[in-house]
Amino acid sequence: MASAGSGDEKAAAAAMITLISSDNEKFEVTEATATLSQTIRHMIEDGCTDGGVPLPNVTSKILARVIEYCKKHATAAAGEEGSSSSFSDAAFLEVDRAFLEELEEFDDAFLEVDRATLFDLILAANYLDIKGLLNLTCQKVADSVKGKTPEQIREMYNIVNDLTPEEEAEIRRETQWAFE
Amino acid sequence: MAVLMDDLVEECLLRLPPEDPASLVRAALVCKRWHHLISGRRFRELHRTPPLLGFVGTLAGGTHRPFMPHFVPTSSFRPPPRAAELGDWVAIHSCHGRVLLYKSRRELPELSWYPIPTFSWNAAVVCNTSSADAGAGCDHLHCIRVSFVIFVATLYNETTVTSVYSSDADAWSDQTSTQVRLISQFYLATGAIAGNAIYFNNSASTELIKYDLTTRDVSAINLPDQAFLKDIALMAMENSRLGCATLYGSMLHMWSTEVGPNNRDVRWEQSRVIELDTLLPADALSSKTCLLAGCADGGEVILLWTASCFLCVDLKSRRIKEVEGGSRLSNFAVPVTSFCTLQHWESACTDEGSGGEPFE
Repeated sequence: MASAGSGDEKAAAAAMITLISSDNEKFEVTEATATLSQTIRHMIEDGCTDGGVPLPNVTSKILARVIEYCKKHATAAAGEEGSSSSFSDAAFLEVDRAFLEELEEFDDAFLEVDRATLFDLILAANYLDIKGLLNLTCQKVADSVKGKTPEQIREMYNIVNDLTPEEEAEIRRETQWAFE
Repeated sequence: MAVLMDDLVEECLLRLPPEDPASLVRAALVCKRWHHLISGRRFRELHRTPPLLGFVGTLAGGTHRPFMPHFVPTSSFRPPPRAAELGDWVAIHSCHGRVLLYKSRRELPELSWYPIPTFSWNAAVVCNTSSADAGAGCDHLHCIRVSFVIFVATLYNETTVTSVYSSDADAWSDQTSTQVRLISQFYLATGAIAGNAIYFNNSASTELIKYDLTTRDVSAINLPDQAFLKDIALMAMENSRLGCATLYGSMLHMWSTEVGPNNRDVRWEQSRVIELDTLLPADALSSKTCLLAGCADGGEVILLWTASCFLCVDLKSRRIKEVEGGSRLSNFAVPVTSFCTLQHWESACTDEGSGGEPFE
């Protein structure tokens, strides 16, 4: 069932893939949703998805979230393709903007998770090679660091300071402006 | 809690905006690993063009202090306090966070033997990344810590005399002279370093002066036709291209070109035409005296001087910021761009990527 009948896009979109989480939960998703993951796309291309795709690095809790993300973004991609022919340019742009806004809202709400989940999502996005999700989650970490002191960041991410007091003092002396 | 591998921590830290150096510095103080990732090569490679930290304008002071450099921040970076106490100095040029100033009460800084300067001179400072190839291919890894070279061109007896100062030798080299005549003052436009050459404005001319950093030859290259006899700003663009901007009323025109080794294949391409009227406050362009005071490398930020205010225009985001106290600044400003990350452990930054133990 790999690449379905060539030219028969509906059949391809309807083709289902089974993903199996590390705790053995099965998720049925469309091929369009699954192929947002480059890792899974390659498996489909190689025809090794029969009997389900085991994902030993991803728990069911995280996989459910990842699938939620992929579904939304796969729909977005399909929506863009479908609407382009049926609207005038101006109307299309209008639809496009509304769509992007909706997607942005979805992404914002999607990122409302605790830190442990955020890290798990980054690991899953990296393992499954989902560029959009990796970008989104890593940017969230970067944004969380902005405006924080080193002490606050260490506490937030449970990081041990291994700079010697001398090293730290010297850097601080050179960059006093960053702490004012 | 999940622990992120090194490369995923890096993925996160790479997304810290270089335009907010204070956040970068604070993040670099978290631990050695973070310090290394932020100070490393990949951060610079990803962000490519160093961000604008601010610019150095010139304040006209009272009788005892004719001129004073004044740093105007456009980012969270602030210069050390002692830099704010430099009276009588005027900024000429800046390269990767280093600013070249000259003592305004004398004609040239600390150059007692220098030929009597004429009205016509300009100078630029360049990172001495390698002696044969100054300026070219600087990877911004430790610009501030490497030695530097100052190039001065001055019109003397109808010829342009060039002289080079090396901080390594702490000495000026022999002068060379050329028939290409430099007719300009440094405050008309700061020089730009693009590819392996410095370009100086040559006012009232259809040409720019090109100073080849390797051969030390001085030559002339043509300006874009429409920029003849106009106030221009020069800047470095991506891929070693040279950029040029000028104002026609409220229209900002920008061009870029690649300059080949023989200067013959200079073809300016218009990269942007922007109607500033739509961006600026209603009264900003009403006075006839709106001048292009400077343009940051990369061509994304321009500085505009009007009789009543100084404006910093971000062409990408279309954000405009009026510079506080800008009405006291002269119409010439030197943009300061730099990756403001720590360059504390140089040896740590020169090794390949992020693998291995970064610190000795």
